[in-house]
Amino acid sequence: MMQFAFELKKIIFSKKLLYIYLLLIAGVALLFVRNVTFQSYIEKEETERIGILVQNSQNLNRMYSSTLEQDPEDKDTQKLKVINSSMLEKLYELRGMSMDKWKNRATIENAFLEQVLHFKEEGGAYDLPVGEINKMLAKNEKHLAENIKPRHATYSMALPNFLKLVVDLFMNFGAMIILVILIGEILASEFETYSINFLYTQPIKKGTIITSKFFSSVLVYFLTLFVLLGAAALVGLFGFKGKYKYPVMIERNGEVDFITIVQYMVQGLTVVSVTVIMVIALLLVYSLLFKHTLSTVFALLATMLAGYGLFAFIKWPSFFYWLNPFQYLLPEERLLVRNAGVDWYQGIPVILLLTVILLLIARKKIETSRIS
Amino acid sequence: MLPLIQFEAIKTVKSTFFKVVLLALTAFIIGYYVFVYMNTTRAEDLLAEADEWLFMTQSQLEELEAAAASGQRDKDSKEYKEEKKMLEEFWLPRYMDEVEAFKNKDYNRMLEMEIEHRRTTLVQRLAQGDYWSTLWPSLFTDESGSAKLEWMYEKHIQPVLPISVFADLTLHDKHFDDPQVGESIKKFSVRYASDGIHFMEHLTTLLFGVFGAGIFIFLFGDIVTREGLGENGPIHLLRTQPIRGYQILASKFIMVLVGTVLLLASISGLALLIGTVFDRFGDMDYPVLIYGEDYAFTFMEMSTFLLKSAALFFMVLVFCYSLLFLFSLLVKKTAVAIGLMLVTLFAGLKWSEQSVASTWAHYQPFQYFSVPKVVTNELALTAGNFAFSFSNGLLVLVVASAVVWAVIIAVSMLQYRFAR
Repeated sequence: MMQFAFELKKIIFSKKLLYIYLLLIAGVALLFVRNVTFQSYIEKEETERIGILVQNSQNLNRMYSSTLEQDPEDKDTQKLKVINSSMLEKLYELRGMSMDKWKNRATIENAFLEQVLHFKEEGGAYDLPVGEINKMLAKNEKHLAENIKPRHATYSMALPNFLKLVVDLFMNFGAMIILVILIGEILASEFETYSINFLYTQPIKKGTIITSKFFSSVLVYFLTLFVLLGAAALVGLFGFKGKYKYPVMIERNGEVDFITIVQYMVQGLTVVSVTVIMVIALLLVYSLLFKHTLSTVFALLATMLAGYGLFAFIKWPSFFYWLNPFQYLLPEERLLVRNAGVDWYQGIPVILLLTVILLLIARKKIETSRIS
Repeated sequence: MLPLIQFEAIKTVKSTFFKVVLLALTAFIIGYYVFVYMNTTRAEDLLAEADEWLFMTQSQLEELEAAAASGQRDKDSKEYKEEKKMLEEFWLPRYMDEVEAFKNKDYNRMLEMEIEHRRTTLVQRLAQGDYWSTLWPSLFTDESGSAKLEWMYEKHIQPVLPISVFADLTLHDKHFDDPQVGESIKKFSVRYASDGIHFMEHLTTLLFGVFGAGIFIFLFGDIVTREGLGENGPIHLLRTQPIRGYQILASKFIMVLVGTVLLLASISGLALLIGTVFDRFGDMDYPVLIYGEDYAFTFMEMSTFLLKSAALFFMVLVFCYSLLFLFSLLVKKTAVAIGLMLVTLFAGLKWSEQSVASTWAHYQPFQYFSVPKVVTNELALTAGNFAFSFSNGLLVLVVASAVVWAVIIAVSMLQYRFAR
């Protein structure tokens, strides 16, 4: 326990931790400022999106007109032209409507999308894939049914959506990079500065060094997470209230499904935290093996990259999700796509098991090492 | 200063980590070559396919004649005559020609046949001028694909197989009639060639980006921090020597730059050597598609593409090293410097991704990290901003590196003053 307290104090009362936390808070604040600045861009982006569709429909109309000039009796082209003209009307309506009238917009957009599906069924070629249309339809229907205003995926100022943005950044690379900065040299530097020899002379079991460094690292990780979420929540209070039932679209067994934004964040943070705990144990093993910070960090990142690549680019059977400890390194897609009966939690047991094994290896390794 | 640079080079080369990473990189390159070699489509593979088509056409013709002989089909009917004529005069000679060309590895004949095959459709589409459609195959894809074949035909270049339209995919193809067709087109369009020049291109595409920059950053990751700045490290010993303070940093940076040039040359040499030994040297003037504004396009010779990519990637590395030196001076710890480097890369790339459509996007150094996409104007086309160019990339990265170096000089002067 004394050793644990000693290790924890070493990290918590370091200038490094303070600077990192200040940087994190500043980063979150900057992210919010960016979102505030980009509010006008949301409308511009939507106008451009509708503009492309309008252009597409106008080009089709011109093409059909020229075909009908050559052959006025062409029934198929006549039918397609009528549907396309109706689609164009809906697009004009959408283009002229304010972004605040989101319910009307969603209703008209759905009517337009239904027409595109009909247009495609009749043999027309339109620059919107059927899969994408179905997703857009389901999303609009969900927002209308729940009476929740859709928010921009990147530049939202609503608190729950802003929290999700911060959590997404943390889940994708953020957690791992912070981990490298905060505890990348927690054990390797002891070997580089030979202070490990001093620890060996203390009246403590060598294994305790590993256990205390491991648990202090885990605690520092959760403290960092708390600081990050706290900062995001505080900064986010300056935005809109938003709704915690906000739907996040996922793919479940090939069908469109929804979870709430809170479920998404809880699930995401759970799987990332479990992975981080495993990575801390792996870092300790590598530190003992290489006794050199740069080699340790390189080996750690290379292992994660190789592990992720091996499982991401090769198609494995679905039961493999129970055995793959690297599936949550970039968990966003893993959370959003849940096919073949696979849910979000399958990888957790194997990661915890691997963590225990790695810790035992690290303890064994340090117990057999000698003063150099 | 030269002895100092030599001293730094010896220190780096003798470090176990440097040797291990180089060894791992060599193993990776060899492994990647095995993958490329296994995935290369050869004339022999296509011969079997063409042979099968020929057999099927011959069988179809025989069945047709048998049906006419047995009275099942009227051999004087218009449909019968048209069907027979099509098989006898179009498909049969075509497949026989294909089989012959694949058997003799007559690449120019293959190109000639494919150009001829595509011409009719292309002429019709060019008359319609439907460039706006992003449905595969877009008119741009058809036009540039045919032009590429003609370039290779005129210069007697061995094409990367297969050369059918199903292997052509450009940025203008955004949608597919059927998602399954889309998947197979995407799969077919990734073509591998195991000759030296093409293997270099494959490596360029793979390494000349964030991934490659990451490897180089790690290679020289502790070049400053290993001197134990702010601690009782060897920096104090260096300061007792008859050298100026700035020479320590400058010699390290020059060594890193020279080392990088040598490493890039060695990697290219290794790729070329492996490719030439196990396949052939390849064609230096192989065409690389360069996107232009308003559906325009040109081709760049492969040798020029590789040289430009190497030059831009070198500048990306200079910028990264400058940042690494700055972080190393500021935090004095290897893991923290590397971590901050990763944070900067991650934040910079995210920022670039999100602001790619802005009018000032081409002034951001992180935009140029996807080196091949910059050289081929893929980035320019995607962003709708043709200010993203090779020359602008070089300029922006030089200026950004100079700015970082100005900060490094200021920081080191401040640190030196306070240390005293």
